[in-house]
Amino acid sequence: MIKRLAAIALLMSATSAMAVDSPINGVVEPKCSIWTETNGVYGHPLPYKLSTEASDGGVHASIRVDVAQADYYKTKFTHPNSFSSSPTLTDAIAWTGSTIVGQVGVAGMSAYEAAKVTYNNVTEFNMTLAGSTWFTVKSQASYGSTKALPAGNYTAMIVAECIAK
Amino acid sequence: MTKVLPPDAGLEVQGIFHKYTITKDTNADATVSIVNKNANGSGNIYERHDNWDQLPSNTKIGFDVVTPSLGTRWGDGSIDVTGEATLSDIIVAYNYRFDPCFIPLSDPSCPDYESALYQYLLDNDLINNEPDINDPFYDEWVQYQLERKAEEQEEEQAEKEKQEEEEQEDLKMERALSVAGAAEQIANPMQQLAMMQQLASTGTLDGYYSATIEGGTYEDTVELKDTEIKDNTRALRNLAQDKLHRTIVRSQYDK
Repeated sequence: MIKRLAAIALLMSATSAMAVDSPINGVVEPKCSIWTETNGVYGHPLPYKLSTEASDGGVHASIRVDVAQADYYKTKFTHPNSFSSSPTLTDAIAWTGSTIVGQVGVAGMSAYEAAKVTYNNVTEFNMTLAGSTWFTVKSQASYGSTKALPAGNYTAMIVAECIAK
Repeated sequence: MTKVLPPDAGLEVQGIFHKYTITKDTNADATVSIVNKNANGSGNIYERHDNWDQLPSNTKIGFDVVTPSLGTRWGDGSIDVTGEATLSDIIVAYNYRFDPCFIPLSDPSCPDYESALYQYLLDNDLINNEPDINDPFYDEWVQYQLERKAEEQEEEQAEKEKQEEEEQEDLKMERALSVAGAAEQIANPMQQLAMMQQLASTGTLDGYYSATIEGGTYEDTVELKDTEIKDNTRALRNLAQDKLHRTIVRSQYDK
């Protein structure tokens, strides 16, 4: 009886020594990426106004969104409602802006424009097709109704996001 | 397609880029087709159809990667719209790659250039016949012939040198085996020993060993007929001039 118990104890210790941790690794590659193709530029057509309209001497920002997998993402663009850097301003700025579908990589993406959702200074697009879509972001700022802007450099940021649905 | 793609052989199309703006009513139906005919057969080698049914106007950009195929297979291309729409600002561009050694004869730096040139000369019976001066490979033919002649000369020279070496070896053996006194002396044991010594020393310079100087008295042969030897005035004058020259040179340093 003693001998049998000893044998069982030895077997148990041998089994516990064989245990190993076996990890499973995985890498998630991004299936949605955002690229700035053209940086926006503010034109200064009037003393109180900054605008990216070509007629005002500005350039609209062009942002490309590449989606590798259809119908898994939506993109969200926030056009500026403040300057990230500017001379000291003592009056309020009136902001306007918009985001529209520019060029498309697939004909069906042309329908994104009609289906977009806009609220505040945010525009959302449902990316139902795989491929590249170019979005055009417009921005305009008017200082204190019609007050002249102080001289200096002005920078405003567009926020573009790719969000899983 | 020869008007669009360069005519070079070895050119392969590997992608097609297109950009166009379609103008239409959102509720209308339209299809844009981009097509390239198959130059070597029926049908199309490339075709794309964009369906714009019930879609608003827009600008489309696209790039299609295709299995690389020779540019000569690509026939005439077209972009058309069917339905109620118009196209503008159209760009269709072909992305291609080019192998400069597709025809090895096109560049002497190509890896198979020499064998291709040899084959060309062989096919056109130009190995031993001079081609026309307008032949595109006339210069190469001349070069080939010069190289061939140089190789032949080298081979001939090597053969000649080898032959001379063999003759020299034979001569040494003959000299070693030659015994003065003819056949009756060959039976002489002393002569045989001398012969064996000759054989063993074939590399030595026999001429020096065989030279003999006879003994006796060797009298002077120089005879002075004049009782007086005059000075060489010309030599003395040269020596005086040398001394003067040396004095002038030294005077520059001995101030």
